Amino acid sequence: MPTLPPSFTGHNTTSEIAVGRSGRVVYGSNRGHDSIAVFAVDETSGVLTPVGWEPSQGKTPRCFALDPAGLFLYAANQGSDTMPRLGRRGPSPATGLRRGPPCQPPREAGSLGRRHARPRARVTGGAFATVSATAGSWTTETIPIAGVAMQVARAGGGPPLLVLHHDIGTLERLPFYDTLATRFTVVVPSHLGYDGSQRPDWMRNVRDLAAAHQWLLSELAVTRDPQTVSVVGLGFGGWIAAEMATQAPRAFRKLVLVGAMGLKPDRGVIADQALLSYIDYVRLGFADQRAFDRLFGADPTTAQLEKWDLNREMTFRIAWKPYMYNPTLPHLLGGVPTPTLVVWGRDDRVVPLECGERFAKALPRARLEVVEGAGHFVEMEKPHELAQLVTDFVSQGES
Amino acid sequence: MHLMYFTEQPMSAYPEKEGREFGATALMFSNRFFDPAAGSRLYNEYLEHYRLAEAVGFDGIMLNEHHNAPFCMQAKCNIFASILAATTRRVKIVLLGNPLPLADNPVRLAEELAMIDMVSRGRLVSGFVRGGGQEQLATGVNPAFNRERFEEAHELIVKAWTQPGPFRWEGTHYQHRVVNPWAVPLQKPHPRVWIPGVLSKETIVWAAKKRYPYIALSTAIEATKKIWELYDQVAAETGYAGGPEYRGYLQRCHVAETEEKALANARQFMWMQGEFTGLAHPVWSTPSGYFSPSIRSQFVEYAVGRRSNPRGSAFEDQIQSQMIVAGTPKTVIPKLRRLLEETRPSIVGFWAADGFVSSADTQTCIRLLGEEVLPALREIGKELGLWSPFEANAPVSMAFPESAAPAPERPTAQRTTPVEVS
Repeated sequence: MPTLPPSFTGHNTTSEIAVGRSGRVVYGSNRGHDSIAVFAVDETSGVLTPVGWEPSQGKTPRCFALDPAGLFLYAANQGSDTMPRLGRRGPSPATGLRRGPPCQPPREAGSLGRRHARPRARVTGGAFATVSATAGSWTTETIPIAGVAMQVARAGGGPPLLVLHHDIGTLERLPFYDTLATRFTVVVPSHLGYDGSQRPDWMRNVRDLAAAHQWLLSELAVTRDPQTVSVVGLGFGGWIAAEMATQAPRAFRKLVLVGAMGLKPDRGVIADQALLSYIDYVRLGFADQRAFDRLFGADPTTAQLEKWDLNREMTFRIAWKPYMYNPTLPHLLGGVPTPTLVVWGRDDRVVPLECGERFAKALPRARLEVVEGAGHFVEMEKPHELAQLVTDFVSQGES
Repeated sequence: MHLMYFTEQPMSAYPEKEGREFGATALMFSNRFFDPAAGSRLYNEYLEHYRLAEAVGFDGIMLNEHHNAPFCMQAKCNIFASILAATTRRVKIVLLGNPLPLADNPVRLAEELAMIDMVSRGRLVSGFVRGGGQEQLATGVNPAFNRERFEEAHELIVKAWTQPGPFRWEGTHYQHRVVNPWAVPLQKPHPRVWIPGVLSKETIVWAAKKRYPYIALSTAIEATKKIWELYDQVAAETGYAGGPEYRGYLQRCHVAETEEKALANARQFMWMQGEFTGLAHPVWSTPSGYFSPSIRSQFVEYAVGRRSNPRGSAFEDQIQSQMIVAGTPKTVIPKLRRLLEETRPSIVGFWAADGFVSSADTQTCIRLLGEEVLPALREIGKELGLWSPFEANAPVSMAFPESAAPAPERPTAQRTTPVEVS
């Protein structure tokens, strides 16, 4: 049983182990990854499943202990000489529905809290969600979805906005996210198998990711009201969002698709990353290469390349053939009543603009906006313009 | 010892300038440069070379396959195996091998291999491989499931060979309503399975757990020793002792009448390795999910040009490390003795020529190997106790731990003399 998330490749040694009072959760410290790994114990088989990693808020966590109520964990950080109290939220398996506050409550923690109204008979997601305060108003938590740990970042306040990232994953912070967070409660999950989320070995197609995000919407208190939550899908994330809309057209209020994959172009093709290096593929998505240089550096780090490789591997696992489209999707878009804004970069060389035209035509309540001077990654090249388009469209008709 | 002849079947008859300008010729170098008249000539030359190899005393002919690439024009090893099954009479037909993950219907492979085994009267050795990185792209097969498909297809094929049908197969990557091929192998329990590889640790461990001989493909001697350390360790954990009958090695070895000519022709081995034509594009040869996750950082750096191929090295270094052996019979025998003494394989493949080496020079090489080198090696093999799986009558696998029954003797009277080698 590895104690590290699959994306972590640095040096690490393990140290203390503790079993929660209920016997249904196991903790272990990671010196290097600087986290406390949290595992759920299957009640019948005893098999462990990782459900998250709590940052140790210091370097090299060695010994740690649980408080008698099992709500907090005190970690001794060998490398930074600190002993923070790490909070656990969500209903504790030991104490039913009791919920302990985190030691450093994120802004608006109360309103962002996860749904826990109904009692749970078995050990599921609610029990082991971890949360940590991070820089600014961003928080990151780990939520079990479909048996694996999904990493979810969020910030801001106001109506909830689920933002789905590209096939290349996402940088943790982007001006686009920060701008949206001034107006919305922005929720940025890592797709299962991408970035900080665990890989679901069983997953086979993009609809599975769409279902996982539907699951997330109903898990989070802040997104479970279909009258308030809207979804923004970027590129590959746009495909996922479109699939979500066809699966559950009433699960959210408004939909924004930006350079979305998912439809087979009639004239051109969707660029095939299998034939391009990690760097060349990402560069292809920028109309202005200086924007790439600013965000990733002219020569991205090996750690970044490994992230792209892991994300690419997951993309291959679920979208290898047909590549980057679902032949049944165009037939189902007609049943989506959700008001939709389709946005495309004029110079998108990854997904041809004709796909944007097709989305706008196939969706009954959609219109297309083309952003000049942007490629596929509109949110990284024209963050403020795109944020403005999204804000205006989503806010329109708000109660 | 089991001594085999091997060629990659290079298709070097294309405009060299075009290849150099294009760069990496595997996968995307346009087949408008493929000259079928030259292709026809070369295929028939290679068939002549195989028959000559049998005539001069090789024990086996090793075949392989690749796709979309000038470095190997054999796109389906079962086709050449079928031809050799009917046109040779003594040599083992050693497939190293069929790329299992590329098959969408492994039952078809089981059928084809059973047919080859019967037509050849039980001379098939059926190796299996994962296929190269480019091959996944050339055939549209998902590289991320390469190893899973390899393992599942293998299980299905062995079951189709050894358990009476009909049965149903509901696997992860393969589903078959009815498995009941009306063709089963002549050899029992089934044809021997040998697993070739370059270094991939996972494959070595897998082969050792199955008790399949592992054939190291032209690795340096020190690296080869590490392979056997790992293999033997897994063998011991699995419950048997590793040793020569589980060890194979593919040696690049060109022999000529003079040292100078041998060295000049041996340089052509670099043709396949891309020194002249840039065989492997760093991206296409390492699709995500295909390579071992344990060396992910090395491969991602290779893929963007930050490091050279973790597996490549210069001609002079390869001569020095004996990854390439070249010379007259007199000078190559001591070098090969060193290989046998230090790594103790019982199966040795001779990759005799590559690139632009002429058919005449290749035939000279095959003759010199057969007449002078192989007899010397057989003596060394006896002296060192390097008994092949056939000589040792080793079990076919862990699943069938009893000694293998030899294929029924073929009635020699029925066979005519093989086609004359011109």
